[in-house]
Amino acid sequence: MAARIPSVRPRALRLSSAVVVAGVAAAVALSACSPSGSASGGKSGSANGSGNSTFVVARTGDIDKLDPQLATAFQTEETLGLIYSTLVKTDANGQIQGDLATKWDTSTDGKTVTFTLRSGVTWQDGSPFTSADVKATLARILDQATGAVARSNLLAIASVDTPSDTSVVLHLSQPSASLLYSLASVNSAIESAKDISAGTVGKKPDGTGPFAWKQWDQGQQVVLTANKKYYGGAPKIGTLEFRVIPDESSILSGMKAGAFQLGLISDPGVAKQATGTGFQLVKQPALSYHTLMLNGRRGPLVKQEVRDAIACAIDRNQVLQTAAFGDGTVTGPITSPAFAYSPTDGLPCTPGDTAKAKSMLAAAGYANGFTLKTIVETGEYATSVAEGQNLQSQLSKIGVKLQLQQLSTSPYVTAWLAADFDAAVALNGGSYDPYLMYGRYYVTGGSLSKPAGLDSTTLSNLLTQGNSTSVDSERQTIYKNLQQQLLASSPWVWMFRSDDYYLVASNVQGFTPRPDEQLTSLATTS
Amino acid sequence: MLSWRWFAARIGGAIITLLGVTVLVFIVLRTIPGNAITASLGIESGTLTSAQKASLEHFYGIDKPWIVQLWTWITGILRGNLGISLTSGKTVSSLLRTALPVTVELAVLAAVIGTAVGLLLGVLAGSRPGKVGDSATQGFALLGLAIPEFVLGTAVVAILAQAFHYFPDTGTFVPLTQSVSGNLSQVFYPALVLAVAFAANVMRTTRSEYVEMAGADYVRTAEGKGLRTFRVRTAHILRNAMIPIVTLTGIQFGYLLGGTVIVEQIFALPGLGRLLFTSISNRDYPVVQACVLVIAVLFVVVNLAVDLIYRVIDPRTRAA
Repeated sequence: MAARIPSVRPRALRLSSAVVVAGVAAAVALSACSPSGSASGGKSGSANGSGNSTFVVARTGDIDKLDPQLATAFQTEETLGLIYSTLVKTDANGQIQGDLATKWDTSTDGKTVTFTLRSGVTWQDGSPFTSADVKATLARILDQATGAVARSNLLAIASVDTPSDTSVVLHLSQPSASLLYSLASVNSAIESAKDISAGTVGKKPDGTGPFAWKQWDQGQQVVLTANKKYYGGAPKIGTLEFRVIPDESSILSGMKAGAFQLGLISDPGVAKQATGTGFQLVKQPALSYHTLMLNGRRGPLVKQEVRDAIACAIDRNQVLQTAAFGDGTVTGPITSPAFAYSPTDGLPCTPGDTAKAKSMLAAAGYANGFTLKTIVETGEYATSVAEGQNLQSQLSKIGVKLQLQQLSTSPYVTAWLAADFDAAVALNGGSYDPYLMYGRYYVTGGSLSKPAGLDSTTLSNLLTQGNSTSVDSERQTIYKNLQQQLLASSPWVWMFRSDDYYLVASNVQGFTPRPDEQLTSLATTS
Repeated sequence: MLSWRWFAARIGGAIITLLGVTVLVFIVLRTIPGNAITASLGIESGTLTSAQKASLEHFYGIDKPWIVQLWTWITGILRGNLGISLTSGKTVSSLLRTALPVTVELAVLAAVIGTAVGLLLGVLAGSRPGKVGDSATQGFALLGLAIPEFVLGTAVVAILAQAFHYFPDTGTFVPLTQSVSGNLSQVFYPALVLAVAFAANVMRTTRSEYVEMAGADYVRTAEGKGLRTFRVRTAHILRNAMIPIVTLTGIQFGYLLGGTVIVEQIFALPGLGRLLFTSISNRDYPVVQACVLVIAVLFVVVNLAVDLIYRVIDPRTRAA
């Protein structure tokens, strides 16, 4: 039996009340007075255009490399794209503009491209930028030992001449319309010849871009400072901090508290809650696309009628509404705004027509359906599992059972590269140039032809033709045909382009999100 | 008294446990599909030529047979060399030197808050069983145990932002030795979140022990002898109730280390949990192996400490 000890209660109550009061007081004190806290007005003050301000960007991941030629993670490309410049760059609509090159001329046979370089540009140590830097960079990219990401897209470059410090001539083995887009990529960023010969590339970034490298606290933050000598004009932001906040809900809370000027999120569920004062949610359709990749070299999918039936059965808009709350756009294979075609022109039916899909399956000899091993990547983007489940539900209506295998990134990539799947729910990166999007998948012998799941001479020829002509009207016709052929042969089911979400503090001016997810407008943001 | 034989047996057991953990983690890591190359390059790894792939495998040290890698790892530990991170190129020891103090501080602060609050509420509830205070504290304990840390952590961050326009500092970690207020502005709230379940467990155990001990004959005798109430409660009831509480605190401390993985993600703290989480995603074998080994060492050390304290506060166990 329990004994009663009357005097304990009031004493304990008094004591516990004191503890609660002390705890609350400590919490409030921390919230209000912390010298290094991130309360609004603290050290993470807002940008004010003075050139001395600190601008804090919150994102879920850290950079993983310091060498732009090896960068594959979005965060790394975003960051290094602000430190390094490229010969040419794309504007927000995907049009090529000059950057370190002010002018370029292509010979009539398309096999010689001459660049005139900007003069007066300096590296961060003050030494001048010259054509020797361009030559050394391209040689490094093309050297197989480097393992440069852009190498496969620049293989047309046979040799590089430097007639003067401000002139570079590229001699190509064949015409390449995608060359300028490849050169506009962060992966083709121009590095200093001095750094390359000293072997210091990737140790401390040294570029000619709007921001200079300052500090990296791994897993915590990257700090950049304004490059006051930047040829495009010194940025208004004095110090740019990229904070790693792994949880997107925490990024949203930080924006509500005024701790960040810019928050980068991708989860539509978090974006739905992004309401409040002091910031606004900006949505930007990305170039990347959500697709159901079909392996046309396995089982029933070998038959085009079967792939067509699957393509017909899926209502793309339903997947978009269910998985991404409608934040995005139904798309066909080509996502570049410069090549805007109908997303369904070429399909043998209306998407979502399950009756027709069933009859197509029956005609192909699969009236009772079949099962597809379907890999789904978890952790990398928020909508993957919901997409897989919606597709599973839609395809069950025609008797096709998706057996979903949820895999984290590394096992997913391993299975994907080995084409160890019947179907794969995927978010694939896009490009302003259709050849750069699909060349490596569908050109015969392309580096990713195995996971592409289909060999097609028609697709390969169209891509090669499109890349061989620089006449815009011809490219438009060829790539329109390519899109129709891709939809007609149904190697994959293209579903939608999702929106990227940017939480932008109300006092930020001049920030413009881009379809390619680069943050280059921070150079002119205040 | 503590016997050397007992101590040697415990140390021997600890070494076997740590060796088992090391080998197990080593094998499990390599059984999961993917490696540092696919984790680092993603689908771009498919564009590598076989020569490039072989060169990268050599660079990451994953081209050697498992048994050679395991031997290198174990002999490295014995020499104090935990290897090099495959992702960052830094030594694993330097990464641990940065991450470990964050997690240890977080766990210790959470344990201190949790124990203090749990003991107080436990005594409060146990002294008046069945009354309103008892029900309220038991309700709190139930709630504390039921709410997962990721929900509580997210809620705390959201409430602080919405109601107080405050967000815990996410800049470079400030060590306690550098600035107490700066450090607490980063660590206090995550420690509070971790402390809730800890306090709930301590409270429940304290309450039940307190209720049981308060009814014991020796307590009635002590009161009958005219001892002051405070002394009866502290020297007699609480002291005897402490044995299971100490055990529980030790076990809970181990679980706290697991809880830090989630909490460090939510509050963006650069601790061991987050290092482990990131390293698993990156297939950074040396870092994962070292993190798990360190966590295992902490578990073993805490359990050993609990056993020692147990023998100090309960003389009966010394005979065992």
